[in-house]
Amino acid sequence: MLWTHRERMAKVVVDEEVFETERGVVKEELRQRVLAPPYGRLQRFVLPEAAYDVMPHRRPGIGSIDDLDSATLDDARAFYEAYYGPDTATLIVAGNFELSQLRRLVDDYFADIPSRQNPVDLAIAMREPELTGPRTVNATGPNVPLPVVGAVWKAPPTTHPDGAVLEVLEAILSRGDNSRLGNALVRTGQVVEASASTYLFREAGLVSAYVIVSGTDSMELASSTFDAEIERIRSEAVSAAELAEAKNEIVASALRRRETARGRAFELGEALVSSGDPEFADKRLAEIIQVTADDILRVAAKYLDPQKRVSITYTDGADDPASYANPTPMPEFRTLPAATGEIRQVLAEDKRIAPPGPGASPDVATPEIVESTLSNGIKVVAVQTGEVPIATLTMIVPGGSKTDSRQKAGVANLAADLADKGVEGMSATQIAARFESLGASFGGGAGSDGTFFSLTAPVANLGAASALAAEIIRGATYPEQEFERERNRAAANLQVAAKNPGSLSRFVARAAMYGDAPYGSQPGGTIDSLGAITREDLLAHRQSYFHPDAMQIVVSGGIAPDAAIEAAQAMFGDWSVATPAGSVPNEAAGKTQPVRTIVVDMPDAGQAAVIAAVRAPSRKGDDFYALELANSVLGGGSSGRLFEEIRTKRSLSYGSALGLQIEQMTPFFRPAHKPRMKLPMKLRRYSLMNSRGWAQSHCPKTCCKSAGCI
Amino acid sequence: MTGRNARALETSGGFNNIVASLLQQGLGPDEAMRFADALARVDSDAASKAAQQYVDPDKATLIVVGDAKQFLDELRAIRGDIEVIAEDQLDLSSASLRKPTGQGAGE
Repeated sequence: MLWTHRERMAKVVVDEEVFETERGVVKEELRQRVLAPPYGRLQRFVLPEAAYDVMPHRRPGIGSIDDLDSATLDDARAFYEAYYGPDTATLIVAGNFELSQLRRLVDDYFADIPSRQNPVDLAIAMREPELTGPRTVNATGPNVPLPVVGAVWKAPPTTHPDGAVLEVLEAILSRGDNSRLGNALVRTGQVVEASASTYLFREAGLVSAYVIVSGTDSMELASSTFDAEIERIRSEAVSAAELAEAKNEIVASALRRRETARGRAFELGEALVSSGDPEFADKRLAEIIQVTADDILRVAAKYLDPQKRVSITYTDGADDPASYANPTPMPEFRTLPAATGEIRQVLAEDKRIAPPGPGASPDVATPEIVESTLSNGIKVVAVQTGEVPIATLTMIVPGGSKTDSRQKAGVANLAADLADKGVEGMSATQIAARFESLGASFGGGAGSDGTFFSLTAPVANLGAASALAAEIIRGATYPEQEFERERNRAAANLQVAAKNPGSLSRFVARAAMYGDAPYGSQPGGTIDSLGAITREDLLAHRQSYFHPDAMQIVVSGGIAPDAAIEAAQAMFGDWSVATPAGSVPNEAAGKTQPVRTIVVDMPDAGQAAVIAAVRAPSRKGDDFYALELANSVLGGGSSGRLFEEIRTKRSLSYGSALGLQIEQMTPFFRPAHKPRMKLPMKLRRYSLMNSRGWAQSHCPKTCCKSAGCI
Repeated sequence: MTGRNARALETSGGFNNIVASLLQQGLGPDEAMRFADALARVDSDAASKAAQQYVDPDKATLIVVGDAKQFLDELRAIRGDIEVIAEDQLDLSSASLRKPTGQGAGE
C-alpha cells in the first residue's frame, strides 16, 4: 500500500495520452455528478458563485466543460511541480498495525521523495469582504423538476470560535426529521425537501439553506415560511431540548463515523487539512458540547443577517451561467511557474519494478456469533463487533415488493418507511424528536423479499431508543395526514427519478427481467400505484407481516451479546398475535422473460444509461461465489475490465458497474453504464464484445490473482 | 472482494445489513464470516465457467434510456428488433412497459 502511494505521489506518469484520457474521464464525471442530477448545478455552481466574491473557493473544484477543454498538459505539470511534495503531503494511517513497523516502512518508502520542484506558498492571505447589501439570484438550469428557494451567507474559516456554533445551528435548522425547516416546511407539505449546510474551510466558509418546493405555485408561500424561520432563529433563543437534540445528533454521527478505520482516517485528515491541527476533530466536538442557546442567538443574528444575504431561486430553464453570475468579476488567481521537469515515461514491461509482494495475512479474530431465542420464539443473533460505544439493532420481517399487488405496488415500502410517523399517543414530530434527542436513528425499508427496520444508537441510550422502536413496529398508526403528505412526497421523488436516465433504466430492467411475476413489481411503486394506496392498506400490511412468528433480530456494535439479547427480550419477548402471519409467494421470479432491446426515448436527457441484464442463480446456488468472482473481474471497481476498457482506455463514461442484485430466488446480473450521449453505441458494442470474448475465452490466472482469489 | 467484505462488516449497521440479508435468504449468520474462505476456494476455471454460463450477450436484455435520435440507427444495425418507447408512454407496472392504448383517461 505504501509503495503504491509512493509511486503515484512521487513518480506519477502524466503524458499527452494519460492527460487526454483523464480529461475525458473528468468531463464525464462532471456530466454524471453535476450536470445530470437535477440540482447538481445549484449545489456545485450557483451556491459558491453567490457566496464568494474574491476567494478561490468561488470556483467549483471540478471546473466547467470549458475549463476542462482549455486545460493543458503543461498546466497539470506546473500544478504537480508546485504542490506535490513531502512538505505538502500528510500520510494518515488508521486501523490495525504495529507503530514501529509502520515508522520503518514510512522511512523506507517516503524518506527519499524529493522536495517540490517549483514550490509556491500554500497560504492564501486574502479574505472575503462582507456583503454591503442583500442580493437576489434567479438561476435557471435544464431538467429541474421542482423549483428551489433559498439563501446563502458568508461564514468564517473553520477554526473561528463561531465554527462550532454554526455546526449546531445547522443541525437545529435541518438535521433529522425533527428540525426547524423540516417542521415548518416539509411537514406542512409546502416543500419536499429542506436543507441547511455549513461549509467551513481553512480560509473562508458559507452557510446555505434551501428548500425544494412542491410546485411552482407554492414558491411564494414556501419562500415566506422560509424567511420567517430564519428570522425566528435570529431573534428568539432555541429551546434546551432543541439544543440537546442537535448536540446528540452531532456526537452520535461522529461515533458512527469512528466505527471504521476509514472513517477515523478521514475525520483526522479533513480536520487537519482545514485547521492545521491534528487534534482539531476532538477539540471541535468538545466545543460543540459547550455551545449555549445564547451562542446560537448571537451567531444566527450575526451571520444570517438579511442585509448580508444572497437570496436564491433555481427553476427550470436555460442552462445559463449568466443567470447566476456574481456581479463582482471573477478575480485572476495565481499563475504557477511553468513546469521544468521532464515528462516521465512508463518503462517497458520487462524493465518495471514489481510491487512488493503482500505480507503475511495477520490473524484477525472473528467475533463470536451468539444465537438465542426470545421467550416467544423470535430468533436473535448477537455479535460484539467493536469497542466504539454505539450499536445497531435490525428487525427482519417478511412482506416486500413481492407481496405487493401490482395495482398497489409500493405498499410494503410505504408501510416500512412511514411506520415511525405515529404510534398511540405520539405524533411523527414527537417520535422524531425522541429518537434524535437520544442520538438514535431509526428507519425502515422494504426490498423485494422483505422488510428491515434498523435502529442505531449510542449504547448508553439503546434501552430508551429500542423501547420506542418496538412500539413503532408493534403498533404503527399511519396517521392520515402524515400518510397523505409522505405519499405525495414519494410520488414527487418518483417524478424526479423518472427524469434521471440511470434510475429510470433500473426500473425498466426490473419489469423486463421479471415481467408480471412478483419480483417485477416496483418496490417504490409507480405514480399510479401510489395514488391507489390508502392508509388502511398500510395498517393491514403491518398487521399481517410485522409479526412475532416471522421476525428475526440481529444486534451488533460495541455491546456485549448478553446485553444485546436482554434489550431484544425487553422489546419483543412478550409480543404475541392471535392471527397468523401474512402469506408469501413461493415462486416470485416467474418464468424466464424473452430477450429484448428496449429504448426509452428521453429527448432532453444529458446522458444515456445502458443496462444489459441477464438472470443469475439464487444466493443459495452453488455458483454464487464463482459468479461473484467473475462479476468482480469483469466489473468490480476501478480494476474491473469494464472500468478499464470503458473509462480508463476510452473515457466513454465516468462510471461503469456490474452488480449482482440479489432477490431471494433469482437474482439478475446487470452491468450499468452512464456514457455520454453520443457514444453509447461504441460503448455498447465494446462491452458486449468484451463480455462475449471473455465468456468464450478462459479467465487467465492473473486476473483471478488481482481479484484476490489465489 | 475479501477486503471490501471485511470493511462492510466493520460498522454495526453494515454488519447487520449483511447478516440480516443472509437470514432473509434462509442462510445462517456464520455465512458472513465464511465469505473469504468460500471465495478463496473458487479457482479461475470455476469463475470462467460461471461467466460463460451466465454472461452471454445473446441472452441479455438491453435497455438504453436517452435521446434516441442520437443512437437509434447505430443500435438497429447491431441489435435488430428494437422496442422504442416514448418516455410519456412508459408503464413500469407491466411486462410490455407500454401504457395500454385505446383506453379512455382514468380507466
